[in-house]
Amino acid sequence: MRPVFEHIGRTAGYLGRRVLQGVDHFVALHGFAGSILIRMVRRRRAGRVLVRRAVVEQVYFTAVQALPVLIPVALMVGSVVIIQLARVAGQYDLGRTVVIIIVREIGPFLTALLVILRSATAVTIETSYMKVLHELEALEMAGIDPLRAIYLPRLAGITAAMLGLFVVFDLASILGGYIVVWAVTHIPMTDFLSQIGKAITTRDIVASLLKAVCFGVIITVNSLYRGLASKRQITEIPRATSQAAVESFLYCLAANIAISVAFYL
Amino acid sequence: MDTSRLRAIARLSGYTLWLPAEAKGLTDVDLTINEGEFWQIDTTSPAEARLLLRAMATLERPTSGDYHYKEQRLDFSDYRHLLPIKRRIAYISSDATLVSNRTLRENLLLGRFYHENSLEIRLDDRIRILIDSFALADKLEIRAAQLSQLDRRIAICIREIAKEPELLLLYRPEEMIDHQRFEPFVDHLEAASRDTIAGLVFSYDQAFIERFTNRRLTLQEGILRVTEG
Repeated sequence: MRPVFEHIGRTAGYLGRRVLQGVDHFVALHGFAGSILIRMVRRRRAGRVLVRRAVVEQVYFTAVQALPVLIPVALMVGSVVIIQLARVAGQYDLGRTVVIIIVREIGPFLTALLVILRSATAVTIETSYMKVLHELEALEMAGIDPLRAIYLPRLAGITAAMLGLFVVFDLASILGGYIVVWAVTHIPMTDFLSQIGKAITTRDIVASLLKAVCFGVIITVNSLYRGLASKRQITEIPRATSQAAVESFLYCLAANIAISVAFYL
Repeated sequence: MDTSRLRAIARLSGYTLWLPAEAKGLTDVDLTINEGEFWQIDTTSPAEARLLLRAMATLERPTSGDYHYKEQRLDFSDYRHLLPIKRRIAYISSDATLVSNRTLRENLLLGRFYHENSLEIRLDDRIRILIDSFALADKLEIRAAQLSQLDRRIAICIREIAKEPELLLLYRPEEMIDHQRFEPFVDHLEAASRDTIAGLVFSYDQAFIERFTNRRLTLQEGILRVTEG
C-alpha cells in the first residue's frame, strides 16, 4: 500500500504546485497590467511626446502593415461563410446568421489570431532582447521609465490597432464576401445588406468592440510580460515567444466565451 | 588624504549582494566615494569588479545594507525611485548597450526626447564635438544594431560622458575604445572630470590608472578593503 500512498502524495503535490504557479502567474499578470494602466491614467508630462510617437509607430506596425494579410483572409473567410450559410440558412435568415457568425464571433477572434501571429510574437521577441541585452537598463540609466516609454505605447498601440483591424475585418468579410459570392455563384442575395443592417444591434457592436479591446489588452500584456520574464540567456527567447503566443490564444478564447455569455445568455 | 571636508557622492554601508545564479556577491561592503576621488579597483576577479560597478550604478538590488547617494538613502523597493539617480551616473562597461532598433542619433538624444518632451534632433555642441572627434558623424542615422561593435562602444562612451555625470563608473575602458582613439577618449574624460565628480575604475591599463585615479581599493572574494588613502 505504501507505494500507492506515495504516488498519490506525489501527484497531489504536483497538482498543488501547478495550481499555485497558475495563481502566482495570474496575480503577477494582473499586477503587471495594472502598473502599465496606471501609467496610462496618470499622464505624466515627462516622455509624453516620445510615448505618442511610439504609439503611432505601433499602430502602423500592427494595423497598417497587417492590412495586406488581413483583407485577403477576411475576403476568403467571408465568402466561404456566406456561401455555406446561404445554402443552410436560406435567403431570409442569411443577414442575421452572418451577423451572428462573423460580427459576433469570427471577426474578433480571427483578428486576434492574426495580431498574435504578427505582433504578439514580435513584441515578445523585441522586449526579450531588450531585457537580455541590457537595453532596458540603458533606458533606465538615462532616467527613462521603460514601462512608460516601451510598454505603455505597445499596449495603447496594439489595442487601438486591434479595434481598427476588427472593423476592417468585418467590413471586408461581409462586403467582400458578398461581392465574391455575387460574382461567382447564382445564390440569390437580394436585400442581403439591408438584412444585416436590420439584424445588427447595439449590443452586437458593443460586445464586438469590447472583445476587440479585451483581446488587444490580453495579447499585449501577456506578450510583454513573457518578454520581461526572460532573464539573462538569449536561449530563453524562443520559449518565451512560444509561451506568449499560446497563452494569448487561450486567454482570448476564455475572454471570448466570458463576453459572449455576459452579452447573449 | 584628508577626506573629512569632502562631500560624499555615494556611500555603501553594510552593503551585501548575493547572486546565487552566478555564485558571486559582495559581502558587507563599506565604501564612501567623495567628490574629486577616483578609485581604482584592484582585484583578480573582473566579475567581482563589474558587480561592484553595477552595484554603484544601482543596477543591482542589495540583499541587505544601505546605499546613500548624496546623503539620500536609496529605496530599492521601486525602480522608479532610482531613475533620477541613475541619470546622474555614467556607466561605461562592455555590458552597457544602445537601444538596437533606434538610430545612433536617437540613442544619443533619447534622454532629451523623454525629459524635455522634445523631438528636436539637433545634437548639443558637447555631443557634436565628441561625435566629430571619434569620427561617427556619418553614422548618426544608422540603427545601433547595424553599427560595428567598436562604434557601438564608442557611442556608449559618448552618451555617458555627455550626461555630465556626478559619478563615473568605468569597466576596462581600454576594451571599449580602439588604440588610436583611446588617448583622445582619456582627454575628453579628463575634461569632463570636474572637481565635483567622482569615479570608480577597473582597468588593466596601468598608464590610464596612474593618470586617472587617486585612491585604491582591493576586492577579493566579495570583501572590500581600502588599501591606499
